[in-house]
Amino acid sequence: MKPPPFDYVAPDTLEEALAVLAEHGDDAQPLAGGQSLVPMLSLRIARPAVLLDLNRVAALKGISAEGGALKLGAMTRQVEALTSATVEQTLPGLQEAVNFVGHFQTRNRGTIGGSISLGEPAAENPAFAVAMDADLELQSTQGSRVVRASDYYSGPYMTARTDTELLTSITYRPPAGARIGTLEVSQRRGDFALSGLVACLPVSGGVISDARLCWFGMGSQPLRARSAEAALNGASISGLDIAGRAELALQPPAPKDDSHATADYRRQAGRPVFTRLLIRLTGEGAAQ
Amino acid sequence: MADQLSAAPRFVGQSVGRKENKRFLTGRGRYVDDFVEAGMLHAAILRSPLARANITVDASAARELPGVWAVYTAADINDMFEPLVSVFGDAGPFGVRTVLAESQVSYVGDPIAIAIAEDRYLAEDALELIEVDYDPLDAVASISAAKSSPSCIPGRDTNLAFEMSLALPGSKEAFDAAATVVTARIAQGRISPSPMEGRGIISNPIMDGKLEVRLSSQNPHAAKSFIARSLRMQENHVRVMSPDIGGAFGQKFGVNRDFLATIAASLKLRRPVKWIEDKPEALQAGGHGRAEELELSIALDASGTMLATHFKVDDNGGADPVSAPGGLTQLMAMIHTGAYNIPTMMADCKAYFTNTCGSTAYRGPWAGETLIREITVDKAARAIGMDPVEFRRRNTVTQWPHKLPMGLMIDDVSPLETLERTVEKIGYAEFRAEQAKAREQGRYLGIGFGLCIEPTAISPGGGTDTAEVRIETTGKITAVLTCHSQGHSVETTMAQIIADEMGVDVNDVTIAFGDTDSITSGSGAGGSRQAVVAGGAAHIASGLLREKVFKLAAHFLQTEPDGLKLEGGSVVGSGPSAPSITLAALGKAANVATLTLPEGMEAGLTARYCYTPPPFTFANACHAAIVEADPGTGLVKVLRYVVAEDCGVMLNPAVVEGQIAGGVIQGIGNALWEEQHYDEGGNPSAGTYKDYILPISNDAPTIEYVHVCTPSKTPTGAKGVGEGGAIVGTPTIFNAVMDALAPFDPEFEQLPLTPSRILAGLRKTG
Amino acid sequence: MSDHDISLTVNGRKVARRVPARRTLLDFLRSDLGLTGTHAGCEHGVCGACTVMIDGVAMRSCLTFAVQMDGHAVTTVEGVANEDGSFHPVQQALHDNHGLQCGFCTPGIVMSLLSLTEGEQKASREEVLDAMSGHICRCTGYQGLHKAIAQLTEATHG
Repeated sequence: MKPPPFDYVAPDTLEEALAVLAEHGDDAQPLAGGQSLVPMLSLRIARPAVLLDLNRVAALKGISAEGGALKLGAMTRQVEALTSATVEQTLPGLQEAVNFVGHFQTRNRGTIGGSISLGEPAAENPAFAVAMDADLELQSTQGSRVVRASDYYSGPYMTARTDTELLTSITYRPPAGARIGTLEVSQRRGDFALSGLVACLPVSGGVISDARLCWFGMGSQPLRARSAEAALNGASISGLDIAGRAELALQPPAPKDDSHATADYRRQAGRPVFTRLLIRLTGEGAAQ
Repeated sequence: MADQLSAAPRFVGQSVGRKENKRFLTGRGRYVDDFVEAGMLHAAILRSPLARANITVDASAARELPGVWAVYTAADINDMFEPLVSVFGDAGPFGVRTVLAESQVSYVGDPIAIAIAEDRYLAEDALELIEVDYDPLDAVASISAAKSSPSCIPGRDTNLAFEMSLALPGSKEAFDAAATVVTARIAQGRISPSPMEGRGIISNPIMDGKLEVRLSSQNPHAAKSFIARSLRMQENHVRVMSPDIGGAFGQKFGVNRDFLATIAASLKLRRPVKWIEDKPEALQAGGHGRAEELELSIALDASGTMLATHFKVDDNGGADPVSAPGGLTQLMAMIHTGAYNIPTMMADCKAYFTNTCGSTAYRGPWAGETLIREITVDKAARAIGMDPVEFRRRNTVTQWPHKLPMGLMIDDVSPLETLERTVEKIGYAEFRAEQAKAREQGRYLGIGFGLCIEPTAISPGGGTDTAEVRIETTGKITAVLTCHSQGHSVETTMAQIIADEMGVDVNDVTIAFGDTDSITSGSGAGGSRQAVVAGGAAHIASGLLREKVFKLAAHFLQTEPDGLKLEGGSVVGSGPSAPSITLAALGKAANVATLTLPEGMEAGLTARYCYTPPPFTFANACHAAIVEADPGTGLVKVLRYVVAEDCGVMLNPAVVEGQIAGGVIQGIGNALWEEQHYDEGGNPSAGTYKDYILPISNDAPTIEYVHVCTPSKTPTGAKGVGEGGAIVGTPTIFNAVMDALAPFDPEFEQLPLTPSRILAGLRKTG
Repeated sequence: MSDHDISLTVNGRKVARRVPARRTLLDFLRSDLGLTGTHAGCEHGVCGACTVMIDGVAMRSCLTFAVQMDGHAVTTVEGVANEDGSFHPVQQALHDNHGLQCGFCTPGIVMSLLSLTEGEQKASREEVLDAMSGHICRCTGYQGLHKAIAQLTEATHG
């Protein structure tokens, strides 16, 4: 179980990194924290000609808040998000989601951007970004563009990033009064979710508007539950028919049977995941 | 004997800190992969990605890769070996009998070729250049497929490997007369033993025709014999050294085909070759335990008394089991009535070959009998509306010795006492009240019990171990043993026994084992045997050494050996003057200043004893678990776990509790998480430890212990304790989950109880 | 495949080597430096046996390449005991509480416990227990580990 041969480059600047991608395209594989990529290399599932290590690129680091938005450099390590006072003040819901990711030892090296870029369908970071409809900044030697997280995924491990682009930052714009939570069912601490949900419920005067719900582990990519979102918008949080919304929310996911759970199970477990999370977010004391 | 020592046991019975810890905690343990031989090369093995296919192999491109020394296929090495046989030497049909697959592969993971290179990275590069043409054949993965399909293994004419049916006198009549017959079924999840250290070998041909093998092996002595026989070598030309072992759980008893391929490569290249199993290999080709389907019927009279049982098992032996399939099912049938008073029985045992990884020993390999019995006992109690504890109480044997239906005699056990102590410790009556209250709040708590008699130190053909105890020139004691340790702490426990017998400090005793050149053959580590067998040998050998010491001391003290005592590292005489001589002085005289010895006395102070244990020793235990099950998500949390264990004299209570706990958590894993599942095409579900769910710290309950002590009639009074936790932990959890979810009328016939299976098994909505 | 010159600090000593790009830190420590206390368990980040400290933080050496360690400081289990060879409190706690059996997973656990109890932010008992999800021990049933953590966090939190 040893990685195949590859060339390795570890530039200090973003420009150099982008130049490597411009030159090698699909043959180059960016390396962030490596907590998912290195096993894929060791299993020889991934076999890039060039491994582009981003760990020395200072421009990809940093956490900042401005006007209620939270911007993370793509190489922000999960532990940094968990311990950052800025994150805690601006978007504590991110910390709740990241705390589900892997283990203490892997969160110490794994990055938020790496996880979003990989696009594992049962992972928390992609779903959280989709639920927040975060701005994902992609750069190449040709320039930069911003892709909304809701438009970023098209299948398992399939994203809008082209081979010459790099995810450089993530900007979350939590709506005012948003109540944000993540809940998942997994067999063990740190396992991928059998069924998981990120919910963002902006509440003003006891009424929900612009609700966002994103499933993970429930299909081939993070999935917004649009009809349930629509049914929540305009609803009052007191006396909310959560069970009814759960049925709506469970319509779009089309999970598949795998060795960890059947598709039926994932939908069944999604019901308590949905209701328990929404009961929590609409209950007293849930306001931020 | 006791009067020859200064006091009652001083170290046996104490939780003496482990002597092994210093090296393990500082990173100085030495496992196979830590050894480097001069000129050593590294092996990697190409394995089949298909369950069954005809193959043609072309390794020419791989052989050209710089840094690659050789690539061997079946054509290159299989002729070096005798057809493979069972590692335990048992007769009976065997599966794949060649080292590398020849024209047909028989399971996903079947070894096809071995590449030898300067390092492991290059060896794996070479594997990618081997061209294999696979012509797929229909795979036979499950027992039901094996029953209905022609032979799926090359060289065999049927998939049926073993069959035994018996109906003891009165059994059919008992079922005919029964007021109630209760039947339960369960299919086990296949367990990957999953020691954290993979299997590993360094094979080193020495240039005088000898072969030195460093092997992660539970029993280097058996490995030596097996390797020599397989290679048609003279047995004393093979030396096996088994260093620190990073866990084994039965898996490292065998000498597998990949080991033999590595040995062949080293012989052909005349260079040391190392092969270390990686974890995808471990999961797919490292041997599996518990691959069986079980059924039990219990016949009851109107008062709830058990009259007879009918035990059925189908064992999936896979393609290349390490021992002949079926033997285990016979043992299961023989002991499956456990602690209950069941006068007669029927049994149907079958074993099959399939296109799956071969079966291997795994912690309490016969555990299926306890699993199905304890599940069925709970089901029977429910069926007749009797409390499961009361039902067990009424049917538990109280008169010992007790003869099992098939004739095995059991003695020195205390099942009823362990049951009562468990009931008391867990607070059974109080729990039922708590359970009712929790249900009102929508929380589903459940309690499960498991009662088990565990055969330990099974030694039907003899199963000896030897201890050779010597006094060094400094008076310190060294003992060489034939046993081994895969985390069992025998460097500590054996020293405790010897220290007590020799009246010295435990730190003055050093234990050595693991090298077949240093001592005669023995039984190694496995089958909960070290405390009984190696302990018995150490105990007796120490007594023999003590007699020699007294004889020599008497010479120097000018007295008679009678009346001498050993204490504090000295031999002390009796009487007011109490003359004494230190073991150091005796050690020097015996080993160095040998001219001071009495005329005709042999120099040196060494005693050796080869101990043959009884064919069976029996430990017993009752476990109880309280769980909370979530009918919404199917998740189960273990809230409390009580074990009342009778393993006789505890050499070291901390070691005993460690063995119990490790077993219990594996038993919980067997019940809730662990499974290598094959689909009908023979594809295994787990390629990594992301997919094979091992128990983690966060889910481990605190285990509460009750120790009951009924000594065995062996020299130490100990009984084994290594496997019971894993055996009875599984049904205990199963029964607790059934109890918790009783309002939903659950039915589960497949382990593990994954969240998915739990929700699917609920037949009623709250 | 590219080769790279690296210099780093391992257990307080400066080390310079030339390594192929694909060599993991795990294999570098074991094969190039002979520091065999760091164990190859699963080699895919699940079991935790290979855990070391990189710049004082516990990480998987199987998921890091040696070449990435240029300029960094790595601590392995061989660098934990006191100068005189006596146990560090983490090792002592595991010893006192029968926290290990076969010893194979132990070095990784030692490194995680060290980083959690010696680091700038001393973790609470609950945090340390939670972090143990990153280690698999197949022998002990985790009972001694739990007791060792209680002993360690008692000491740091009074």
